[in-house]
Amino acid sequence: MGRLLAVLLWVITIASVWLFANPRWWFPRGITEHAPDYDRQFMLTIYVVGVAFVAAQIALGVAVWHYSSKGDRAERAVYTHGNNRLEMLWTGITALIFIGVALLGQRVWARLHFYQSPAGSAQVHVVAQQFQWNFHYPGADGQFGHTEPRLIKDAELNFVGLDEQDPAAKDDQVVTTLVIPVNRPVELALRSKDVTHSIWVPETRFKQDLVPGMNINVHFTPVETGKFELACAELCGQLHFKMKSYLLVVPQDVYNEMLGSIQYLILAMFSAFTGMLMSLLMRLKLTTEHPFAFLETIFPNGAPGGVMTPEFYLSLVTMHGTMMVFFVLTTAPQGGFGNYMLPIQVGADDMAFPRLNMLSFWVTLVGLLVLISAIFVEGSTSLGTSGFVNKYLGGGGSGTIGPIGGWTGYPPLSALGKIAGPGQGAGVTIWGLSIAIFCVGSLLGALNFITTLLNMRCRGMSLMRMPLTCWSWFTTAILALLAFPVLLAAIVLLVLDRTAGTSFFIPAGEVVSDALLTHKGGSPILWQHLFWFFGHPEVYIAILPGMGVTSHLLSTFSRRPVFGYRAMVFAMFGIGLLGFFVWGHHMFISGMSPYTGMAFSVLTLSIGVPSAIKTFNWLGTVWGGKLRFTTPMLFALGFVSLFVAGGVTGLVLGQTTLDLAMHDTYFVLAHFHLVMGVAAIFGIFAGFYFWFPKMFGRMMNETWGKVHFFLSFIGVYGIFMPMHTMGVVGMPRRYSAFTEYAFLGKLSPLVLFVTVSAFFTAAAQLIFLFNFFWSLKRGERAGDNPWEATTLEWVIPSPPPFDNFGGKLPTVYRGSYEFSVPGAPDDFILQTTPDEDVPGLSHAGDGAPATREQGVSTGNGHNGHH
Amino acid sequence: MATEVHTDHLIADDWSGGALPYRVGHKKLGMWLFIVSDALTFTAMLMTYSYARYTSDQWATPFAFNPSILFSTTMTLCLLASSFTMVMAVRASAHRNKKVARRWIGATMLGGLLFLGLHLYEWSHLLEEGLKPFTLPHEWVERWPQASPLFGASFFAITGLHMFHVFTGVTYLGMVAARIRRRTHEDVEICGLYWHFVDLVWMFVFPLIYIMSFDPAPPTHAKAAVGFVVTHLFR
Repeated sequence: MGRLLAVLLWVITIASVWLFANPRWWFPRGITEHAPDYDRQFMLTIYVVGVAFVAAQIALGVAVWHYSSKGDRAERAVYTHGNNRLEMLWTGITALIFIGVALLGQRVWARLHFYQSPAGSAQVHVVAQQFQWNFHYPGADGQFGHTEPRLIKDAELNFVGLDEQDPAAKDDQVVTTLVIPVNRPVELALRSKDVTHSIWVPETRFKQDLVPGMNINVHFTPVETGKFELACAELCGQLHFKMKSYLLVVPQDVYNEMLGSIQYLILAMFSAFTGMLMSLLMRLKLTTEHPFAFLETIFPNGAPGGVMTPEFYLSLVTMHGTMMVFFVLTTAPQGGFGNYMLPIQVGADDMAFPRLNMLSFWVTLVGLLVLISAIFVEGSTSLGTSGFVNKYLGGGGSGTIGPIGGWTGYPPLSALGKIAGPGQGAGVTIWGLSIAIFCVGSLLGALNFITTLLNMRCRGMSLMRMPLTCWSWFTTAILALLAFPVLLAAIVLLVLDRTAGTSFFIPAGEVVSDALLTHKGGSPILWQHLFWFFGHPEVYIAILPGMGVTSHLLSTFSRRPVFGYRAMVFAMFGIGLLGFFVWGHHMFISGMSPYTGMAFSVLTLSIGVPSAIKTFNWLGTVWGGKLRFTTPMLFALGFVSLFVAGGVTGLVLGQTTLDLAMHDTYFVLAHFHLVMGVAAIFGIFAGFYFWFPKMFGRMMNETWGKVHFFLSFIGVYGIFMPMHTMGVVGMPRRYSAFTEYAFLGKLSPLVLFVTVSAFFTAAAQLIFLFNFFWSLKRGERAGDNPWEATTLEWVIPSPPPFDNFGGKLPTVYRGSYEFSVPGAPDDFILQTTPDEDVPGLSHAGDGAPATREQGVSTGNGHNGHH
Repeated sequence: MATEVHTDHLIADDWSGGALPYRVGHKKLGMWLFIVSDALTFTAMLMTYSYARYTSDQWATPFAFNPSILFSTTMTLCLLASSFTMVMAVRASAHRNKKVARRWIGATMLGGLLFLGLHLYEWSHLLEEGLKPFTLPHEWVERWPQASPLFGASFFAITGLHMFHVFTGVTYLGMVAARIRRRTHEDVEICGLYWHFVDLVWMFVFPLIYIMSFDPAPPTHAKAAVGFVVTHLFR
């Protein structure tokens, strides 16, 4: 089993490296002055990341190959609690490399953002709207005419509200193609009429959000002529995927000619035709593209004729993200395993507040039901246009299955209401209410966890003797306690914007669907700050419990103490703490101050250090062990592999410079799906297979479990590895079709491959479902301690009695991971076994109960103890 | 025998299990944690207000000393007094004098209700004057033509959230007072913690929302417009 996994790890490593080494799927050639520097920095980072990835995967492979258990109960793993010098060495080296890379990663960014554009730059005003780009040129006089939001009239082709009375406006031109001169700095003044858009041409290695209410000036210098596709990279509504234009880089003389000659009217008519063509194309897609009859049966509004509408597609994106992040990744590891196992593992008879526990569960369930109701309110025309929904929720029935703002729900798109497009009525209101309810449930849960852990540990269970699972639930609860209240406040304000007419997130001068809105004074960026102050810790809320379970299982099934227990605890807290100071890395290109971005960038890369410490310690735990490849162990090993694969690309995305091209591409998608999605899910599976015997008294079928693991492991790599290169090519997120762009055309084999992998992986999960139900009825009976583990849940019967310990709380005499202790008769010692009951125990240090003198340092805290 | 000796040792150390490390019960620790969390909700609200105010071209400062600031100071005094009576309630409860404790809690509730009443009176006047969550009164717009309408939005959102907390607090105090014989001293202390927290929040809201919007030179007719009752009271 170990050898199979090792070979698989190496094959995946080689395939991944091949994917990156293959020049077919790579950046298009850069055409700006800063592009070569960008590419150099990207390559440098990719080399660092690649070496880390390959080294970790190979080491993991070598460990599982070499240290397999022979099944002989007399064999012993190497007994050590870690090595301080090694700990310091790898922490120091990683910190040095990461900080170095982080500092280098600021150079291009600084050059682009810290200086005014040089005198003599070509000036273009960019005004974005749903779903069109307008480029406003000053004309021959070099003066921009006066513009006024109330003059905007799309029907009269006055897209930017140009004031005809102003003499300077006479020769101004508004076109839908961006034409800029070569070898001359170009200054773009970016504005948006309605929602947040983002301008993106892969060849320029440059991206910037256009935020309503803000005037953002950026500059760069193109050095090559040509015609390039220009895309929108920030979700702006149902036709986001078609908000296409072109960037024409032309010689200076051609540019001058264009400025003087091409007529405003002709180009405006051209854009009107383009707009009309768009709607024709939409109809075409709706009627001919691969119709599936069953889609129409299920979603008569969302997929008429069996073809999904773009807004339907985007509502799927939103509901997928919201449900996965909130109701799966936050709820399952913490609410599920934490609630069950935390009190047992610390030796308590129940949670501190059993009634509050029930309450938080029901509140969370109500949150989910409210979210699901969005499907019907937006999906059903009759329900969506009923009096109540129209009056109190903003109206629904748009044929989506919910809002279309993504799980991040950026305003103004999410704040404007029905006027902003399908899914923006009742869908968003219900979505907001659901999240507010979820926040309350999570808060109550977190409060309960922390109180239980601090107050209800049994005698002898000092903090440093707790299983690492408990530490991870504790850290997670602290993060939830501090992060969710901020999201709660933000959601309340967003719902007020939608229902009470306030303008917290809506700036002045919004022109949506030709209507000038009365809102003024708000800021879309403010939402991003509040959201990501919650949203980044939320990422760790999802992944930390997985880390805890993995540490726990790697030790248990390697038959070795956790390598560097203390370092693991501190790293976990370090990750949690730093997680609160890095939210800005989601906002580099949002229009936030570029100086702030640099600070966030350096802090972000420093999170790599505690993450690397954890990885090293996991390898250290496996190394020299006697590995038993049970299904939970396989999933824990899979977690390490996936965590490394998904984590290292954080080094790319955390750099301000590299984010210029990577932001909101499939590269981001691959990164966070691997690390906080799939890795976290593997953590959940590991915990599930591990604790199933304790919870239900029967073993799960090992053979099917292993088949489930291997198929899933191959499947998820198949889904997410190719997404990296898709992102490098420039594929943007949240597009409902890739048919609009030539530069995405060559990716179609990869797109197909990913889709096949996704179906493959989904099918593999059926095995799990089957195994679960079969094992519930027919599984082999599990004793109290089928895994020969050491922690408190394995002292009590399976399943546990109602009050966990049958009325007699245990006393704990040692740390959680006493495996292969020299001289002991078995290769594990339960936490509840006193020293006098272990004949032949040669060292007396650890078995002693905690006393005032020894304090908290007893137990696993002996770093470097031999 | 040996185990019992161990047990003594173990209890002696707060942090090694089998003890309450902060020497407070679950409920009190839980309330502290809730306060930390709730404080962050208010922090987010006040940050939003600061952000909006800082990024706006102009911010209306309509609160004249007489009557607005005087009025809100009276409200503040009500809350502060209720914090004092809460201290007395906890003191009485510590001396196991539950009857007296109940009376002091009653006084605290009275302070809270007075605050709520005055606050609602103020709200109704501002609404009457034309301040809405989405717009400013005409007179304010004349004086501060560039002023952000977020004045009303943030004013109503923040004071509204605080008012909700005061209301919850009064209800909570009522529940404790009604069955005070069955309540422990710690129960009284915990509702006191919550009440002091709600007061403390007001100590941030009052300067940030009211005093920072102080109007040093109000037009003469403004006095008549807002709260003439109070104007008479303070003369």
